[in-house]
Amino acid sequence: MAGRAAARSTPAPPGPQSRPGGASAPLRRLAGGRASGFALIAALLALWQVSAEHWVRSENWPPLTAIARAFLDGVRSGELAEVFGSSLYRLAIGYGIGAAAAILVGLLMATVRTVHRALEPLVELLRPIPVPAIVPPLILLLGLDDKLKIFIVAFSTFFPVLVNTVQGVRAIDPVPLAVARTFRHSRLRTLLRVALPASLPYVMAGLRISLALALIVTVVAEMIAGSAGIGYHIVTMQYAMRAADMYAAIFVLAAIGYLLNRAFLLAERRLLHWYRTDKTE
Amino acid sequence: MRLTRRRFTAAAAAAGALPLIAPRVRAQAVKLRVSTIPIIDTAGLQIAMAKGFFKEQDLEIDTTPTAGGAAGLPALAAGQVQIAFSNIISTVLAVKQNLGFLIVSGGSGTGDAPPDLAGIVTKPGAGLKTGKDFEGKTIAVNTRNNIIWLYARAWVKKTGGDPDKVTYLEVPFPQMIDAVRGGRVDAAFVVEPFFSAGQASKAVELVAWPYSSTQKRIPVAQFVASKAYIEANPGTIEKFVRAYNKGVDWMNANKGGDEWAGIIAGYTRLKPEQIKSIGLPVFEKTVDPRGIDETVALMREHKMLEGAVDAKAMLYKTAVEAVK
Repeated sequence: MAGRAAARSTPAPPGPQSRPGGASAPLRRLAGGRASGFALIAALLALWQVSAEHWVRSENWPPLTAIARAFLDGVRSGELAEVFGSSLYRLAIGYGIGAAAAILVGLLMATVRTVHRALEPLVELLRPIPVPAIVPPLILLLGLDDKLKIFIVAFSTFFPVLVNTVQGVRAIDPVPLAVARTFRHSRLRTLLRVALPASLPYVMAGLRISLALALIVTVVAEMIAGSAGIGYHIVTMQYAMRAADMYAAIFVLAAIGYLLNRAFLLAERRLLHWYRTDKTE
Repeated sequence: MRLTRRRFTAAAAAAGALPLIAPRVRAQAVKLRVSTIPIIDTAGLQIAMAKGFFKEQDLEIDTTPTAGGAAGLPALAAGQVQIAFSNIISTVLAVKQNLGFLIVSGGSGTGDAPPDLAGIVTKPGAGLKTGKDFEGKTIAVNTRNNIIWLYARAWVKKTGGDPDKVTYLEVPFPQMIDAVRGGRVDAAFVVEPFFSAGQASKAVELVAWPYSSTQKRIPVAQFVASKAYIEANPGTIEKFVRAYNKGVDWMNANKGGDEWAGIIAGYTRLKPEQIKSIGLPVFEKTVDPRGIDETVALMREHKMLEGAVDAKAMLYKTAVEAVK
């Protein structure tokens, strides 16, 4: 349901996208015009620092200065790069497989009625299952290594993209399809040249939801059965009483999530330049 | 990524060296995958790896650490690993389900007297001293129906309380001291290193040693393998246990030293100065079936288990008599 709702809300009607220009326009573009947003983050971080120094007494609430030190150590030793590299590698493969499979199956489900009838109940049954619930049988089938985690990421990526693709194809204006039929385009050609591009705004919305989900699921999977990656690193540091190192990794994780989303929006804008630019982003 | 790169480098090196060693027939190292938990209890294994004791036995150990160890026995059942480090409660429950596991060597345990590697702590001056005092109160345990929970209940009963009148709340070990400090629980049964750190910060005070006040020499955790693998590879198991035992001997001889602390810091990621200050488990090479019997009796008393368990039948011969 979430996927469907988001798909409906994300492709909002086109709106004016003018921003006040000026001398600081490039700088403002860089920050995406969110100065007040970043100010809020800075204020919260300042609150964190003050609270850790004066109010909260706990090993699990280190001051930001300690976290910054841990971050620099982690960068210098190359550990953070290794930890994140290994997670992002699994994320990329799992996401790629899950997204490609979902678009393919989605196109088939939306255009071939028998496929839809055959798969819909299964999809609706599998979709709400939280991945941690099925980890034990997955360990049995896939082991403990990359295969397990890549499958989990692909599984989580699959459903939002699938549901949005089906919705997207269903929402296509019938006129272009009729035109394609008039010109006696083959079914495959119509699918690839008309249906897929026309449903792309929906597909992209699904891909974007899945991207955030995939990052979360990667980390969770590594926490459950991991020996590498961000999730394992975070748990290990927690159990080693190195909260500063743990938060350093969490901050990097947040930054990566943010950057992935920004990069995705940029790509989307390129790909869907004909459609519209999302005002709210 | 790390593994892949390491494997790649190894493969490249092997390919490069191939012409040189090809004429000689070399004993192929047997690969063993071992599921471990990155805690101090697995120090013997890590030391045997770091000191090359497995290599001496022509074994190549690939560890699969999982935080918390929940994946250990499922992975063993699935044949994804050949040996798993498992706590005695999980092992007994698995044996009871006829999963075909045997204990191949000792692991970590408690001693005859405190200090243990875990204890019950409260806020300073809380005035809770016995199990009777804890009726109607809350004790934090890491997982219900496991070893910490069982010995918390056993201690409550032993010191005059009704274990069913105490609430056991699941709190992860790293958050236990905060939970006590914040008044979210009345007490916590917390393990090292959080136990020492909590006491050092004066946030909590020690109330009881549930382990050694209910049972001497508790067999807390062991290394387990499947019967099928043991029967097919008795020599490999013996080599594994021999190397592991050498690691235990080395550790007992070098406890507290810099090299020892360095190896433990390497896999637990604890800071070396912290390692030297925490309480240590007893590192065992063999397992006394009487210890398992006592634990099983407690499990039955607290309704974790029905029926008898033959402790001796859980032990492979390498866990009964130390392999030299």
